Amino acid sequence: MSIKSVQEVSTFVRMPKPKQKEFWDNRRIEHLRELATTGKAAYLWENHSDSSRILDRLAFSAIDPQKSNDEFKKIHNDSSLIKNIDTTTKLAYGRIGLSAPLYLGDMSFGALSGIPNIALARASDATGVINGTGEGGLHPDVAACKNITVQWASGRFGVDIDVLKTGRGIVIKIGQGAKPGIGGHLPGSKVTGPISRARRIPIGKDAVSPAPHHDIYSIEDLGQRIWALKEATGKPVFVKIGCTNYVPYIASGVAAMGADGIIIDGAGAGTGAAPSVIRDNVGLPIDLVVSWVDRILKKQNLRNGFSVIAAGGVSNAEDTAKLLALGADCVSTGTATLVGLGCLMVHKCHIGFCPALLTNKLVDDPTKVLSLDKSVEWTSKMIFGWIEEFKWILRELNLNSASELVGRRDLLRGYNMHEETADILGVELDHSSKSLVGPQPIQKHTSEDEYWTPILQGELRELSGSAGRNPGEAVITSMGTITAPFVDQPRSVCDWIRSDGAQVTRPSIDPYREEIETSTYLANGDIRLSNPIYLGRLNEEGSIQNIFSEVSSSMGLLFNSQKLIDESKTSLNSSLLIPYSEFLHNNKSGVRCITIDYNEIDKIEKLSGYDVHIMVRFPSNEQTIKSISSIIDKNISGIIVDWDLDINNDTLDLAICTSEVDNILRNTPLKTSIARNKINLLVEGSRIRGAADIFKLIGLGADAVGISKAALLSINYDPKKFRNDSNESNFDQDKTREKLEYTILALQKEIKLLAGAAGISSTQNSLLGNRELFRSVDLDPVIRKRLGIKAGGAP
Amino acid sequence: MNDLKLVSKDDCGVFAILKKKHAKKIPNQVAVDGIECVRFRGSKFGAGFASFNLENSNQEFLLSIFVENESTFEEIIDIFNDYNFSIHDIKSKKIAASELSLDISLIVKTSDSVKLSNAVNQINYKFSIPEYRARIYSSGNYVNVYKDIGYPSDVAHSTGLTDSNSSADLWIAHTRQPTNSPGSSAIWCHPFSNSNTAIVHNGDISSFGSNMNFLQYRGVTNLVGTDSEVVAFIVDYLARIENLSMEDIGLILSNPYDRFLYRLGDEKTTYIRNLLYNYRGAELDGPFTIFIGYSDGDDVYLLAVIDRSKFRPVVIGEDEDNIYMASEECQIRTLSPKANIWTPQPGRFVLASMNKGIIESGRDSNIIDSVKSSDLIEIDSSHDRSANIIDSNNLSSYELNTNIKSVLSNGPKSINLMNVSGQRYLGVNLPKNSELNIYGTPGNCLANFNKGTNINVYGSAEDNVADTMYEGKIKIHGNARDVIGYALQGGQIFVRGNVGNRAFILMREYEESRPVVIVGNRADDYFGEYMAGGLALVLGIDSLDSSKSEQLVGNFLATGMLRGLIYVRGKVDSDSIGLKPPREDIINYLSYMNYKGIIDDKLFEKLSIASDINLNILKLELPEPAFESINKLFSSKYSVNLDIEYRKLDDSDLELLNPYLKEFASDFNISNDILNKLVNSDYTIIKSIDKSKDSKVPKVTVVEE
Repeated sequence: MSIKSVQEVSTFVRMPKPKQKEFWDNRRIEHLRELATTGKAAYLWENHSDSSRILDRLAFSAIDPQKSNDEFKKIHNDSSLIKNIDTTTKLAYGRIGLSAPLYLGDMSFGALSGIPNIALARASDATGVINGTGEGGLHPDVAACKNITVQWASGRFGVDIDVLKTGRGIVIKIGQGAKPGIGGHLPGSKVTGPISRARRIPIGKDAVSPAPHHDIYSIEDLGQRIWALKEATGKPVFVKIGCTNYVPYIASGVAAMGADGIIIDGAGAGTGAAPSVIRDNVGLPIDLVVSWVDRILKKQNLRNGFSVIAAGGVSNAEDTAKLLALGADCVSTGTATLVGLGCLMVHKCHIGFCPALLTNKLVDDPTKVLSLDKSVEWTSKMIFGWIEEFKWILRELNLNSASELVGRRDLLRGYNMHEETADILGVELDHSSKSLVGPQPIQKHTSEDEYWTPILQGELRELSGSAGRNPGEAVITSMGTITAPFVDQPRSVCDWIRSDGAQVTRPSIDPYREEIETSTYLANGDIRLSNPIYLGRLNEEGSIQNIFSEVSSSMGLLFNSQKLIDESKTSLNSSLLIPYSEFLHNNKSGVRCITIDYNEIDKIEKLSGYDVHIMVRFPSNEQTIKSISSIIDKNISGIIVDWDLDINNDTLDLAICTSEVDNILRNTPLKTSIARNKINLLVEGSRIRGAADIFKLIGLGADAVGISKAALLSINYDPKKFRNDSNESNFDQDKTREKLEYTILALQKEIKLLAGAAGISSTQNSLLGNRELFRSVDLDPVIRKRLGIKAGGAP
Repeated sequence: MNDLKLVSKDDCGVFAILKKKHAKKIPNQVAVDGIECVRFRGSKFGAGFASFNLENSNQEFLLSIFVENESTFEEIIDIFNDYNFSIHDIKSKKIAASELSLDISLIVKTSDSVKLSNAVNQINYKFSIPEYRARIYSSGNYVNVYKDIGYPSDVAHSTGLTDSNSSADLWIAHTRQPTNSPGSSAIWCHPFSNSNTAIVHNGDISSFGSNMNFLQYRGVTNLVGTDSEVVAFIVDYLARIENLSMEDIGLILSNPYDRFLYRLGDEKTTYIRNLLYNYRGAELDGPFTIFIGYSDGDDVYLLAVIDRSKFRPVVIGEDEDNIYMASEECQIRTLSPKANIWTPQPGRFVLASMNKGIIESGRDSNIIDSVKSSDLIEIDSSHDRSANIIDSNNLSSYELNTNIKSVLSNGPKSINLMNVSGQRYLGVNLPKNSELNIYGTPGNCLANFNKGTNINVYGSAEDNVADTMYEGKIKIHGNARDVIGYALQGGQIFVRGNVGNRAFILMREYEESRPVVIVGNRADDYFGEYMAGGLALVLGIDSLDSSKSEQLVGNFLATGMLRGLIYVRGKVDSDSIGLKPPREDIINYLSYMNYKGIIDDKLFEKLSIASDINLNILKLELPEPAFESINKLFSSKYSVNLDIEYRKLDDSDLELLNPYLKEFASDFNISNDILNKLVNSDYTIIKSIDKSKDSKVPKVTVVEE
């Protein structure tokens, strides 16, 4: 028997140069590494001049960060200055005492590879903070620690009555910030011996956690679960939720139901794996909601003793101080602790490859492991350093204790944000600061290159299988965040819109195992689309047109073609939208839908003798909004708002135009009905990027959304290759067609994920025009009102 | 655009009772008892009642108004005077709510109900801006609403209901658990009423925004901002303005899955699709159980609509005189111990009227008989019920559980609980090998986390029995409702009657620990969803001799099943197993392949009219590349292929099943004759195909945590 040497890793890997703007940038990472190495305070205030996160646009008004940092440099060795500052924190009506308001957030044994789990638990014992252990049971060495909570999640993995009694409290995990409304899936390949034992599932077998708890579909159901757990264990019970539209209501419900605290996990929180369409579009940032959670709980006399724990992108003591001032008792941090253990933000947790050995697949005979002793040391020092910085900050604020800071919104000022947002946060606005993002953001202000980022293009290629290994599937990502508008610059109005995640008051729906209807009926029920998607007009000529029309036929869609592809083929023609002139001059076999441009509506009469549905194309601009009511009484079945039609300086963001046109159609009575019942609204354009844009445009009033450029990018379309028919084989065409079919299936899955996350089981019935699902994040109120959506964070 | 206002989201307990034609009117105390029984589902934040009486004059409208003070009421009277209405019988009282605490009722005599409706709309709109100063909360001629802040019995007193000695043809009642609680004004309490409609609701409408659009763009703008009220207005609109039948309204609101409509035949499918398309925006989504009272002057209707997934609890009961609808079985049993009680199928509606009785049962007609439970409960006479008795009457869940623990800590291994009525968390955290005999209706969360306690229920159990149970045996002589055996990891659960939705989901095995569950009759949707081990049987004992073949499970059987074994007696339609793409999408793809010449006309024709197109048939019929191509509609990296057989039990099945079947028969006094018939029946047998052996499935590389 050969004895294999196991290499123990006890140094940090040097940070690579970043490829893109990330929340966890080198500056944040290097800071935490410094704390983990020295165990001492490094500095107090970050420079946030280039940050668009709301928390970074808040500052303590009494403090000049530059001056304060300089002063700190001079006196930081004099620990006597902070020795009387009290950071102790009581949770759960005083039943849990901590040395500082710090909770090391819920990462499971399975998501992490064992050593980090033990390190977090031991460091919590050593420093007096607390570690949430995530779903999936306890590693035996974690179970031996005192300052842990045990998680009760939808899959019930690794919990029995004895495990539940182990920690200092139980966390009912309803949702998480990176993917509210989405379940979990641990593939069999990751279920190795140690994981198998902790979760009590066989080696090599998948472990699925459903999207909702199937015993909790309402607030009274949650109350029932809280009391069942209390009846069984007598322990304090916390409820962890993602940060979604109704969080202040949910928090008051959770408190009223007898829980001891709530962990609210905001957008931008870390994850071992999440569909990127969810991470980038669902849920609100924590900074936007803490204030109203605190205020509503106080108003209802539910705040005293009940713990509010804020999570999601908490990166240092400064964030901690601001979140406490906004109204939290404690912060939870997960990603930061991994950064303190050497995480490099390579976003590869979900494929089991981790250069820092944190999330890699756990095998029985590894060649390299993270040093446990070093890990405990890093984590402990990071916490000590964090607490020390926090103490210095409290000193700067002339406060003696952490509890004095809770809810002190009066100490904060908002910069570079809309007044509306400052009101939601409950802070004063510094009126001298300019709005960070400008008042009228529209798609045309962004150049093509800026618009289609490399990441976006990469994700589109994954849909079709042009890249990656899972054609037809939703794109998966892990850790960190690059999402607009918090990190990246918004590129269209849709980027300011966040969708809801269903939790507590209603369940989310698992689109992989449960029914979510995407079929869409148009033209008075005459036309059925398999999805609320169609293929929009192409500028490209050649066989790509054939491919679009064939995929439109095979996948049950429509293709807004400029011409008939194969005149004699009825079945193909029935899935085409073609211009009226093309229709009149050709064989019409099977054609059901005709387009007429807005400046040719006198041609409608010419078509009166034919059994076809007429769709009128309009550009996306203010003039369209003004003129739409004049054509409503004409004999038409639909209106197409096309972003690519007549692009000029007046072109309006599609989200705004869609919402306004829908509104006009709904407000116009016809003889027997209202206009919206008769007239479909189709929206298309080369700037529609994928499932999230489609989903949002439907919610703003579109029946179906047409994609064109996104579809071409997904199949890695090369115009040189396609333009000339003679250069390509049938084989290539078939391959491309297959890819495009996969793109449609993947978009369908992503739309279903978004719908399921919001608790919507039918796109046509429940999503269409359902603006209540959406919230804006610091969007210009003028635009927000045109969309008819509410500002996020407000109750 | 108008900002949508969603102020309140409620979860709650609901109750309704409708008398039959021959029966006496129902006294108000019955309604109070029916809802007070589940006061723990609600809170101090509000409750309410609505009564319907048919014999009121159709010219006299009873208006109920919450108003801030007398002078505001004068303003309202002025508006009525502008309309030239004659007003009578003004009565005024103070209620418990701290805002709009003046509760005024009056009679308007008019023959013009449209004009009255306009006046009500005008007043409600005018006095809602900028803040509520008054609200007409009831305005019909057959309906009377009583609502206030407080628990049901408090509200019955504060609104004068208790003192009124009133009785009615129909009562609906509600106890409220607001997620957000503007607990200061009664305008957000249920029932919500408009004209001659009143509704109570438990749940949360995710289609709220779409439903608001439906109303707003039809001129209804004076809503107080709850998803529940929206439903009252939609029903009123569909019934009164659109003149739709209550059946059609039930269909629209409950919004049946499109994919299963074809089972109803072409004509009905087209009818329903058109109905749903024409009233799109009125369909409801999200979790809901809604009881709707309505009278058209000729009859009094009670309609229950249930969401597609049956996320909220609901039971229907019937006895000689009355029809009952409730959140929990204990509510009905309290009033009528011998009533027939059944659960509607997911996504269905239940309709009854005073003159016609049950019109739609909410279950397929040929299976309803096997669901009624009153005859199932045969108390085991051999059982010694003299020792260690706890009378559960009037004990709260906490008191009863404390009593149980204290008795068991004094030595006895076995306790008899008598008169159990809805108490929760029974059998939680009890000593190993102890035994509970429960007589009555135990409440939710029975035997959760169980590790070795044996429990016998002489009656029916409610939701969420044996969540995360590891060890022990549960015997239920009646039925069990939804989500029984969630993440069951060991031990046995035997149910003589039926189980509801999502039974035994995430049930799993590990090493030697392998759970076994047997359902004597039938199960609803999502049986064995995410199942990852163990053995589950559905026997259909009570329909064994039925001439009609009935499917013993609902839809989405074994969806996402990973491991384990399911035996369902009789044939299960493959459309009811797992989750497939909609039929239209498959036919579309076949049609395209036909156009491309990949499949010929004959094959296309054959497949497109097949009653059932599933993956196995396609694999058999299609050429390999064509199958590969269409397979993408079916497969995903999370999908698991199931091995489905329909056949007689073979020797190895019998070796596995016989000991459990014999034990089940002995537990429930089932005759050898029946046992033999069960053993000799055909079964649908489902197990998963090991993914790692199927090279066609893309390699899984994803971990989600």
